[in-house]
Parts: sequence; C-alpha cells; structure tokens
Amino acid sequence: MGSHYSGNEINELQNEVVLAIAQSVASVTSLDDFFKTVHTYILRLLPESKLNVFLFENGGLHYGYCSDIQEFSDCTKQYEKGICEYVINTGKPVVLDKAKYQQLFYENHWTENGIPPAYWAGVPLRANNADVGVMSVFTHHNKPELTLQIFNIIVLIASHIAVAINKKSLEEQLAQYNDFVNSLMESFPDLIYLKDKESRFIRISNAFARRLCLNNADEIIGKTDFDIYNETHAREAFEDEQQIMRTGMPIIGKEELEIWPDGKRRWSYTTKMPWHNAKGVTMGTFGISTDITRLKSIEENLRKNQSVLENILNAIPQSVFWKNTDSIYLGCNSVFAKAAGFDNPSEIIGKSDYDLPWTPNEVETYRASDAEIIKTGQSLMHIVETMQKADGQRIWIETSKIPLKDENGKVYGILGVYDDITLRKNAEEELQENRRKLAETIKMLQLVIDTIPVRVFWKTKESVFMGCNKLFAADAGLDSPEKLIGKTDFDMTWVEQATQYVADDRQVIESGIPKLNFEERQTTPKGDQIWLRTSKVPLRNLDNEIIGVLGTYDDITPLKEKEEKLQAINAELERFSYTVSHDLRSPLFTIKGFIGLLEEDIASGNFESVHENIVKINTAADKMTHLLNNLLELSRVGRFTNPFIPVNMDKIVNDALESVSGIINERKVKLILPEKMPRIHADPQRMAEVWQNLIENAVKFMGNQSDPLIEIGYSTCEKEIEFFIRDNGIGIDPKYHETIFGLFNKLDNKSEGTGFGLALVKRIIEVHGGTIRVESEGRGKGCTFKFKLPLKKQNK
Amino acid sequence: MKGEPVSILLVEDNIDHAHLVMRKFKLFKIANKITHLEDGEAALEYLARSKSEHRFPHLILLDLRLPKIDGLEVLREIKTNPDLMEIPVVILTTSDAETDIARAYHLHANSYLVKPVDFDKFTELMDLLGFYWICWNKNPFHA
Repeated sequence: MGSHYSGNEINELQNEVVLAIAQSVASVTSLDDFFKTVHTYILRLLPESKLNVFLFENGGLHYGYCSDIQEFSDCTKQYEKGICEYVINTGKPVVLDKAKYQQLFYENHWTENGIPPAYWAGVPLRANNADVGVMSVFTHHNKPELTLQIFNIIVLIASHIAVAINKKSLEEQLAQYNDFVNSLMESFPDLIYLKDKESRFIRISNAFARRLCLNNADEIIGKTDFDIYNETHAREAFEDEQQIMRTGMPIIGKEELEIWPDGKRRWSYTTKMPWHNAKGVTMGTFGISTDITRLKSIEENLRKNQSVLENILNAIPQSVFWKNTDSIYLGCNSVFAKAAGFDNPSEIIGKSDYDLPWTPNEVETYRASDAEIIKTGQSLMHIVETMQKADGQRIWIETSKIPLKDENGKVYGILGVYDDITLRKNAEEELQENRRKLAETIKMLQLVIDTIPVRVFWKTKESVFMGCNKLFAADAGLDSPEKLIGKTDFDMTWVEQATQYVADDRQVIESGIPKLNFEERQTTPKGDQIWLRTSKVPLRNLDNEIIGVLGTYDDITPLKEKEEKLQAINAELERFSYTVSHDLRSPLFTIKGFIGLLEEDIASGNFESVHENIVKINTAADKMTHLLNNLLELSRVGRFTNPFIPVNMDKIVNDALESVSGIINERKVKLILPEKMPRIHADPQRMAEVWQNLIENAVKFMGNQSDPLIEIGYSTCEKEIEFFIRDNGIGIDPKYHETIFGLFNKLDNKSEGTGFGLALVKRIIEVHGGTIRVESEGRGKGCTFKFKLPLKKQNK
Repeated sequence: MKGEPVSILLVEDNIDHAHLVMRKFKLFKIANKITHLEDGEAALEYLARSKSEHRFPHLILLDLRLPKIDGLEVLREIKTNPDLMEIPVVILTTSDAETDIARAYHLHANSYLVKPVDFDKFTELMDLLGFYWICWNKNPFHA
C-alpha cells in the first residue's frame, strides 16, 4: 500500500473518497457499517491510521466508533471524553503531534489510553448548528505524515459524516413518528381520518376501517363521505370541513347520530381540525371521532331514570320538597306544588316559605325545624303540624325532614316529605272522643253496679269469677272486687253450695235461658246461712256468643225471716180460728143442746132432769168464759210484753215451788235444785208463768209414783242457756211430744186444766226468742221439759 | 131390718155432746146399741176388739178433736186397716174449718157433719142421720 500520493493523485483520491462517502451517506443504514466504510477510505489516505467517532446527545456520550476496538465500552468513553470535549469546546478542527497530545493530557489530568499517537486530528461534528460529536483520526506512525491536504480531506469527510449523522437522526425521528402514527392509526379505538382539501380520505384508522366493514384501511383512500353516509350527513360533514379550511377554526366536540353501513345507529363525538403542513399551507382536514353510543345510552338511561323519579315523585300522594340551607326551595313534586298554589313544580324554585300560602306561624315553625336540621345534621321525623294550603283549606300534616349531605358529610340542603293526615287526625280525635265516652260509660256503669243495693257478679263459661261489685265482694269477705277475679265458688265460704251454684251456671250457659228470681242459701264468711234471691242470665259478647254468666242477687234473709215469722203467725192464726170454730163452739153447742132438751122436757112435763141440765148449761158457759179468758191471755203474750230486765231465776223457781208446796210436802216429792241459777234477760212475770206451769204439770202428772222426784237445772253454751225440769211421773208417749204444746190439747180428758198451760208456755218462750221441747221415753218413764233462751239481750 | 141389733160407735170426748147425741138417737129409737168412747185410743182399742169378736159397728160417729189420739188419726187408722176400712165413718164435729173437712175426706171419711148449734137443726140432723145411715144405707158386712 502506497503511503504517499502526488498532488493529482491526492486530488483524485480526495474526489473519489468524498464521492464514495457522499454515496454512503445517501444509503446509510447502520452507523457502524458506515464508519467502517469511511475508515477504509481514510486508510487509503493515511495508511495504518485509526478512526474514532464519538456522538453526544444531551451532554452525554451516546455513541462511539473505534476502529481498533471491537466492543465500544464505557471505559473507552471515559478515556476519550476529555479530548472530545476539548475539541468541541475549541469549536474547530485540530491536529496534535505526540508532544502536544501528551502535554494536553498532562495539563488536563486526562487518563491516557495506551500509547500516545504520533499525530492526532480531531474534527467537531456539526449538524443543524449543533455539535453532535467528534471525529478523530490518529496514527502511531510518523510516516506518511499527516499533511494539511489530508487534514482538509479529513475535515471534509467529517462534514459528510455530520450530514450522515444528521440524516440518520432525522430518519430515526421520522421512523419513530411513523411508528407512532401507524400504531395510533392501527390500534387507537377512535375513528381517525385525514382528508384532503376536497374532503377525500387520505388515511383512516383501522378502527374506522372496521367500522366501515373494510378489509383494509387503504381501500378508503380517494373516497368521500358521500360514498359512506347518506346525502344529508355527508353534505353536512363536507360543509363543516370546507368551513374549517376556510376559517382555520376547528369544530370541537360535535355530537352526531350516525347510521353506519353495518346498519347500526351510533352516537359520535367528533373533533375536526384544519391540517396545515410545516409551512402553514392548508392541506386538508383531519378528525377524531369517538363512539359515545354507550355514554349516550347511559345518559339516556340517566335521563329516563330521572324521568321515572320525576314520575314517581309526582305520582305519590305524599308531598316532597327540597330546600337549600337558606330554606330556599330547590324543587318539589306536583302535589306539593299544587298545595303551594303552583301549576308546575319548577315554579317553586327560588321561593321561600314566606312566598307561600302558609300562615305566618306555620312559616316560622317550618323554618325553625329547617334551621335545627341544618344546625344538628339530624333528621326530624313525624312532625305533626298544620298547613294552610293555597285554596285556603287548613290541613293537618305529618312532616319528616332529613338533611341532604355531600360526600364530606356537610349539609347542603333539606329534603322534606309530608302526608296529609287530616282524615287520620279527625279519626283520632273521633276515637279519642269515643274512648272518653266509653270511659265515662264504664265509670257510670261502675258507679251503678257499686251503688245499687243488689249484688252483681259475672263469671266465665267455666264459672270462674271475672268481676263483681263492691257489695258482692263484701259478701265474699274480700276488701275489693279485684281480689275475686280468677276465683271460683269452691274457693269461697259458700263451698257448701258451690256445686249447686255451678250447676245453675251451666244450665244458663248451655240453654241460653236466664234463670230468674230463685231462692237459694249461702254460707257467709261468718258461717251464717243467709237467703238469696238470685237471677242468672247468660253473658254474651258483641257476636252474641255466650261467654259466661251474669248473676245478681238480693240478700232476702230479713225478708225470709219475716216470711217465716208470718207463716208462724198464720199458723197460729189458723190454730186460733180452729180453736174458735171448734173449742168455742163446743160449749155453745152444749148450751144450746141442753136448752133444747130443757124445752123438750118442760113441754113433755118431765122436770126431773131440769136442774141437771141447767147445771150443765152453767158449766158449759163457765168453760166458755174460761176459754175466752185463756185466748185473751194467749193473745196478750204476743202483743203486750213487759220490758226485759235481768231476772233472778232462783227466786222465780222458788216462788213457783212455793205455790205447790202443799202437794209437794204431801207427796214427799224430792226436789233437786241447782245451787245458783243464772240471771237472764226476760219479762219476769211471763217467766214466772213458765215455771209455774211446768212445775204444776210435773206435780200434776206424778201419777202413782211412790218416790216422786222433780229436778230443775240448766246448762249453758256459747249463745244460749237451756233450763230443764225433770220428773219421774207418768211420762208422755213420744207421739204426743209435739201435740202437747197445741192449744187446748189435753192428753187426758179427765185431767185438770184446759190444755192451755203448755200452749202458753210455748208462746212465752217463743216471744223470748227461745224454743221448748219435751223428752220422755214413754208412759211411766217420767219426762223432761227443756227450754232454751238466747243469752244475748233481746228487747223487743 | 134384721134381728141383729144395730150398733153405733160414738167417739166424742165431750160428755155433754155425747149425751145430746145419744139422747136424740134414743128418742128416735134408731139404734139399739150406742157405744160411747171418749178418746181416740179407746176407740181404736174397741175396734181391735170388735175385729177379734167379728162384731163391727154399723156406723162410727167420730169427733175430730180427741184426747190421746186425734180424730183424724183414728180415721186414718180405720181407713187404712183392711178389716175396718169398710165401716162407714161419719165425722161429727163442731169444726167447720175447711182444712178439717179437706183432711177428713182425704182420709176417706164417708161423710162430714158439723154439729148445728141450733137445737132444732141438730134434732133434724140426727133424725136424718139415723134414717140415712141405719135404715137406708147398705152396709157390706151387715147387708
């Protein structure tokens, strides 16, 4: 290889190299290959030289080519950094011999890389007025010398390299840009197009092509909207584009409903812009169209939902309104609007309660609750208040208000709902009134059942007491009617009669027929037996089903006692009239009979019986007088009574014994008397008659008893005292034990007396509230008369 | 009239009344034999005896108010005793009490007569009584 060229040779070589490099620049694909080619040309100028090229970007070394190094490394970059910067800072091509080169490294403390070269030439690479790198050619050989001519060629080559680099850089940028545009056009989901000035498509995105059902986006090139859309839409688009080009003003965000070749209707959101080239010349238009059908459908749904909501709001019977925090209405439904006097809910907007037909008091009430909600952030539910409507009608409403809060919880308004509760309120008032009336009725009923002198009670179907009045409770020995509830007759003092009572209940409940005014007995809490006149009626509910029995009764014990007394009096009266009819007529008959006999005898001249007959008449008349006296006496016993006073029975008995002392002494009657008899309350004269009669009887009916005995005594119990007089005389057959006390009953016709004594005794004892009876085992066995007197003071 | 003497049982506690009754019967010669007893007990004893002797009275005149055993009780005894129940029993009493009349008939008395206080009427009654019961009336065991 020649190391030295003549001037012509150099010129030719220079031209050839420059031309070759220029050609390489045009077809450069890889910088490495390019620099390798460049190096081959440089080696022809300067054999055994080496070539380094370093390219900078943003102040950093980003590319390096070193002809003697296979792999360009960071280490190499570091070695060359200083000298490259030196060249760039100098801004001019520079040639350094070995000494200068070493001196430069030394002064700048650069790290040397290997053996310093014999010559080192560096040229800054400038492209587009910017330093992009440094190209250096160096050799470790002194021959051939790096002449100025060769240096100039190197500088010239460097300028071509700069061009090449610049071109390469632009191409890369363009390629990137193309990649970007291509991927945009291929992948971007929106429809993108580019049209020329005549609105013919130049390019469209793949999404657009797919939308147009094209296999290839290129198929659209040269066509217009008129080939795609209907006339109207195409015309409108065309005119839009022409306008954009004329005015240079874009059309941004135009929403259009488009009908596509696939038959679908789609909403698009389109922005169209004028397309200018780098020099500002209008080339056409381009646009991006986004399919907003889904958004539109959401929007449509929203609108529909809103309409549904509005319909609901306007359909419900409740009034709905909403206000801001200043209590200014923001909206309402139609019911509310109507009440407020508006035809359309929208008219409410901006109004305050002061503008509405409410009364001033109502306005203040409403606003006060608004203020409270805004202050507390709490709902106010079920406020019952009035409202004067636009038609002047005053209604009752029940309002609930809730605060409207934003996402931060801040109250920005109030939502209110109210119901017209006038009807309910009226019904409530009516109910209240009815309740009051019912309570009054119940109270009155209670008063009635507690006041009437009748006992009232009611029982379930199972004869369990449900209630009673106070009188009944008192009868049951309970201090209040409530204590009776739940009890049955078997729990009461009248358990003895409970079975009968319950049977009566059953009869009434099962038959449904009242059982009225029947008399029955009852055992009181004190153990007394009282008489009741009871009525039981079935207790029915509103459905007329029998649910129990209602009973009422009167205590008719006093009545019953009077009745019994009356019956006794009647019996006595009967006895009396009997006596009058029989016993008084008897002597009368005798008198008249014997007078008749007398007349007969006198008429017939028979006088022998006259005296005898007159005696009989006299005797009968005396007997009659005696009877009448006795009757009078008996009637006096009941009617005229001396005041009861404490009576000394000892004295009375002794007086009576004294009156028969003659016969007692004569018959040697043995007397057994108690040491001391008790004092009792009685009519002393009558009591004396009792003892007189009984003692006389005992003496009179001694019969043939050889050892006659009369014993007098008494026994007491809690309530009464019983006296007795016992004899061992003729005795009385048990069948006469009752009749002997009858008026004018005599056991023995031949015996003395009129049958009056015991009747009188019985009468006196009865008037004293006592009873008398006789005990005797029969004839010849003696007898004992016993009479009881009550101990309690009886003063009739 | 058979040869058999007519016998009448008079049960009357009042001797004076009995005297008057017997006087009237004797006066009209109606009865051959009048047995007068003064109390019910004696009457029942007499009837018991008549049964054993088979000599029943043709008629019993019975007062109601009797000592020891009451007239109505005697009546009951007679009318419930199969041996005695056929004997006509005429109640002859001073009582015109309805209860007495009712009770007497209830116990199957054959007749109930109240002693008239008026002597003429008494005489007439005794006359009729005698004729009716002793002459006209047919009697089962004395027929």
